[in-house]
Amino acid sequence: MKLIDLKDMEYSISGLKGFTFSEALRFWRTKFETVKHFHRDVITHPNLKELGSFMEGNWENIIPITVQEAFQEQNMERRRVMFDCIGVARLFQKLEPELLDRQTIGKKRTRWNEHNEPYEHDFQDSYELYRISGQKLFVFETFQRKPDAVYAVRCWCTTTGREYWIYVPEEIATGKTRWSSAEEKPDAIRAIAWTIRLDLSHPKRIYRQGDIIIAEETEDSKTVAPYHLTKEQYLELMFSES
Amino acid sequence: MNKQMSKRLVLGEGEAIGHKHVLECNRDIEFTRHTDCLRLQLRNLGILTHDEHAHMVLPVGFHRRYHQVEFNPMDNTVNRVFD
Repeated sequence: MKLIDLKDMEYSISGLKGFTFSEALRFWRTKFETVKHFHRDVITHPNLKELGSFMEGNWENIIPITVQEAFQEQNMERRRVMFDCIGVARLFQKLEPELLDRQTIGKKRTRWNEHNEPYEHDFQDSYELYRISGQKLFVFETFQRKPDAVYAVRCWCTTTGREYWIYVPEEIATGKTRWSSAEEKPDAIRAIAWTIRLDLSHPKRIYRQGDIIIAEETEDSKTVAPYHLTKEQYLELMFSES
Repeated sequence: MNKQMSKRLVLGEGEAIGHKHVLECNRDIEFTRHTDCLRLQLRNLGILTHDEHAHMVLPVGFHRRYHQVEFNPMDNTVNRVFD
């Protein structure tokens, strides 16, 4: 495939078609932290090798899109893609989100010394739950639908200290469905529990190393439809975290 | 879902710098890839290591590997988190 073909093609980003080559370059530059991430997620077919080579040679010269540009975009579908590319951490840092809940919990987790002997590791872990109102993100020209708020839980890796922002669904963040009149009960622990999804019943315990989750089976364990952990399951099953 | 065997298994790749979550055992680890997980059997202790995280010791038995997930409010999907 020649580069001239690449420039003439139409591109799909985050499920939306219709982007030009130059737009796609900037969106990808924004979405992926490094060209290696771009390769991992986009260059999934041998025919795209030329595009991969082009990006490698030009990555540093491509200008990422900004939050301000996203707000200037009048097409809401394109704006959604821009927000998707910008990412949850930068979006929440820029838009002064509303803090809904903050919890610090004392954890006792198993770790192992250099001889692989277990010991108990006590530490404090904090979680914060935030909301950005839909009006801040999307301006709808009709009154048919109120723009949706977005929610994210903020947490810190207890080993590396790195900060993470993870989007969670509204009903998990607030504890209520949209059509319910019940009061909101935001819960940052419920939100972080939701980020662990298993497909086995009766897990014995759970190990988490970064984004890798290991669930130990019991004799009663069976494969079931994937489900997200509840707060209670999270607090009961987490055995080791790092 | 073919069964595979290995004494060293990469359970996930971290950041771009190439850190990996590696599970090692002195006996073959039997594993099968499923839609939502990697199911593995340890016949001896398994040691899970990563350059930036404390190591973990997994007991003999069956285990399943998953990735942490996040919601995407832009298209209402659930996707894996990359740390």
